Amino acid sequence: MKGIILYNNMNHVLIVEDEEFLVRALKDNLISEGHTVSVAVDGEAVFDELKKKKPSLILLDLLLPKKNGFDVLRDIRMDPEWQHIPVVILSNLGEDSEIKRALELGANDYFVKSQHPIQEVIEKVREYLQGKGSTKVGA
Amino acid sequence: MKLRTKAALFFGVFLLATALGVAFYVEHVVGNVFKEQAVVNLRIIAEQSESAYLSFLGSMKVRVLDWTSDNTIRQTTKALLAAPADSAERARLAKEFSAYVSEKKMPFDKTILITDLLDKNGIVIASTLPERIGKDEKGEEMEHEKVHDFDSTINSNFGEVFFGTIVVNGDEYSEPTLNMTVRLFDINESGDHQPLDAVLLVYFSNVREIAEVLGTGTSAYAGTPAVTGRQTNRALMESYQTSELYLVNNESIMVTPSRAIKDVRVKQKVDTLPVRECLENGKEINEEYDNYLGVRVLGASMCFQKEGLVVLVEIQKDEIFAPLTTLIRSTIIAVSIFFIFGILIISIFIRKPLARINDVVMVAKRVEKGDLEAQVGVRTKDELGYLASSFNTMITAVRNTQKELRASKYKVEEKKAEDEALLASLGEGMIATDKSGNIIAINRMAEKMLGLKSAEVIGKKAVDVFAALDEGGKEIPKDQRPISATPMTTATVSKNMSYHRKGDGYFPVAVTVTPVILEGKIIGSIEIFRDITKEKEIEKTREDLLSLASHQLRTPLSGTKWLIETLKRGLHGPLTAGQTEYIDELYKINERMTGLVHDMLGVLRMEGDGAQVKKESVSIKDLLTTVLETLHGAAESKRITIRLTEAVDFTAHTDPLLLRNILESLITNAINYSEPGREAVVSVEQKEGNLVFAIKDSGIGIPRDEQRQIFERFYRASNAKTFDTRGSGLGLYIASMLAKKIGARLSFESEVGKGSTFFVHLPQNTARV
Repeated sequence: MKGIILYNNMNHVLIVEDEEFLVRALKDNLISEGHTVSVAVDGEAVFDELKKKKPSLILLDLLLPKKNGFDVLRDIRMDPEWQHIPVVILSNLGEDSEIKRALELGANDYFVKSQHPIQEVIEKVREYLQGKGSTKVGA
Repeated sequence: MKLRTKAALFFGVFLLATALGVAFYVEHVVGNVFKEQAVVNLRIIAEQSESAYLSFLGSMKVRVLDWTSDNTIRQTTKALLAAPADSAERARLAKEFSAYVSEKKMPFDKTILITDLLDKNGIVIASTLPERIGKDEKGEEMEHEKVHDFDSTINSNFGEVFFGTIVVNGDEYSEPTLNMTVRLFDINESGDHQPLDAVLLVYFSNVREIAEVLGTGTSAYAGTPAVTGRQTNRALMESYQTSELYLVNNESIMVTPSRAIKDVRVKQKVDTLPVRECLENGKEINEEYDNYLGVRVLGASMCFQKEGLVVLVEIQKDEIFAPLTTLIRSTIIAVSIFFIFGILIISIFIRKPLARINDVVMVAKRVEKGDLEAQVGVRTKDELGYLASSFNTMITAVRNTQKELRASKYKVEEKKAEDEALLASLGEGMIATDKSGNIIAINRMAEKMLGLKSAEVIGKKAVDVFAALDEGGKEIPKDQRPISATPMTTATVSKNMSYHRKGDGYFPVAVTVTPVILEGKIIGSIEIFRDITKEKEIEKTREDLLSLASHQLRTPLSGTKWLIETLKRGLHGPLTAGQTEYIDELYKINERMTGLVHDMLGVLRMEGDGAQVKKESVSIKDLLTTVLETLHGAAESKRITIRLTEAVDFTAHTDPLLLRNILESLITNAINYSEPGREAVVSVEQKEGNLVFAIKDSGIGIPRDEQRQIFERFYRASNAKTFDTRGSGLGLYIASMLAKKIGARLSFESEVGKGSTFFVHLPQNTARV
């Protein structure tokens, strides 16, 4: 199974996160699961990374330098080339209004980071990459 | 108009009508009888006068006929006619005729003035006045109608005598004269009368005598005793003071003296109705007309049309009607007396009742001026007494009502003053409008906030005076402004919006508009609004802080958590038992910190405006399914089974997010305070109008003596602290606060060592729409 995913380049994940230690935790776990990973550390770097390598899933933080996650999400959803890529929000913004806004802009899932073990995130990524991702909110 | 005046007026009108009726009756009924009677009397007099006149003429006729039978006159006339004209013989004979008549005949009758002898052509051939010889009397007759009747006379038979009218101031004589003509006859051997072509013309100056005959001579008017045989006539005449009896000739000249005209030589013209009727139509009348003096009279006439004479008998109408006038006058006097007596009687008899009515009126006037202590003193047992008593009762009632009204008014004014002071000093803006939305009051704070002066806005429509924006910054249409809409819905409306301050800009306000309802009718509305600029700023700050806190506090916590989890997975090599123990401790500390931050943010959020209640129709089954899915991971990691009993699909009208938070909090507690491997049961039922959620665990339970404090902030049960060190003491506090927000209540049953059951009582009837 792993091999097929690799060959089909169906297991590439773009992590958009400015906190280095979080990037590291996610990266370690995803790679250990056999995914390939690219990282954007601010809102503007996202599109450079997208052009370099089209991911199968985007993990998007909301509070980012240069351009916030809501704007990034909006731009992705407006671009015909990227708009079909599932986006899972990983943020510590946990207000209902923020969750609602992200979902309205087209986010597929929303995790308040501190509330969820990393294992749940990894499982969610696996679900999406196997085509089983569903829109669920894990507040 | 006073009653007394009215009564008098009524009485007066009644008497006047009676008097007028009597007057009408007297005038028209009795008057006519009087008139008829008088006219009959006058006719009798007129006819008597006529016969007297005729008999007088008869006597004169006899005298003249006697002359015609005189032999000397006959013989002289024959000789004269035989003698040639202008002959000496004729002159001598004329003288002889004149001398004979003057000396032998006329001295026997002083009233005969002249005697003429006329030939067949009417020419005077002999006369007692010789200068008249040759005069053409026929010609005169042509000139003066009815002076005499020569034509008839010259052709007449024996015994016929013709009279002319009475001439005043004629050519022959200054006295009124009456002419008589008679043909002369001879007698032949056989004794037959042989007519001669000669006529005897005799002038009488006997008008006075005629007057005496008629009973109207100067002596009659002078009041001398009446001539015997004329008694009836005179008596009738004398019984009236204005009676007249006179003759008028064919030239409408009065020819006998009357009461007013004693001397006929003044030639009084009498152009009255009976004269015209006689001379023109030969008619005799008896009726009412104006006499020669223009005075209204009743009169009767006798007409001698042929002779050109009218006999008139007249009495002034006034005199005839004098008794009636007297009657009318008496009636008037009687009526006046009745009137005066009537007034006196009315005054005397109705004075007392009137005085009583007056009493009532005076009291009514006092009451009208505000004196409610006044009472009517009338105590009679008639209608007036009843009126007075009712009136007194009424005044008392009015007085009592007024007292109550004054007291109420005082209270109302006191309250009004209080309210006004309150409104004036109110820290919030207040605008009162009538039902059309026109401003009727505005307090100082509202003036200040809107930059308006009350004088410039009172009476204007509130929505025209200042603009309003909704929370999205769009102008609210005037008809949708709460102040316009409230009177129609009768509901109190509270909304946040922005108002325009004159000469400045918009500022946020919290508005509450309440309709003012009086006796079931909306009479206007009151709008209270306050400037919420500060609150908005604080809210903004709070929200910013919350976001920041969420992120900034959670980020390191989540980093630590994930890094430890990664480490524990052995991605970086296996851990020793000692390292694993340390790592687990670090993980627990971090989790505790995370829970604390989560709960603190929850409190902050809840206590701010951020957690506003937004009710909607909620499927309880769906809601519980979501909650259990969310908590699935946490439960699994502690090996706790969460079981949902047969869930009836209820629908509640509430805020789904808040209800979810409450249930999550309670189920999380059930997970956290149970030993691994245990079961928690969630159930819902309908009970006494509430939806009751029950979360039953088989956990550690709550010590009885600590149960009271369980919903207090930061309180943790003593056994809980030792069982799980991560709790913040905020979970149940937050849950109970959220429950309050949606109108629900929390309760629990618990026993240490056996477990706890937490209940959420959500009212269904009030929560539902």
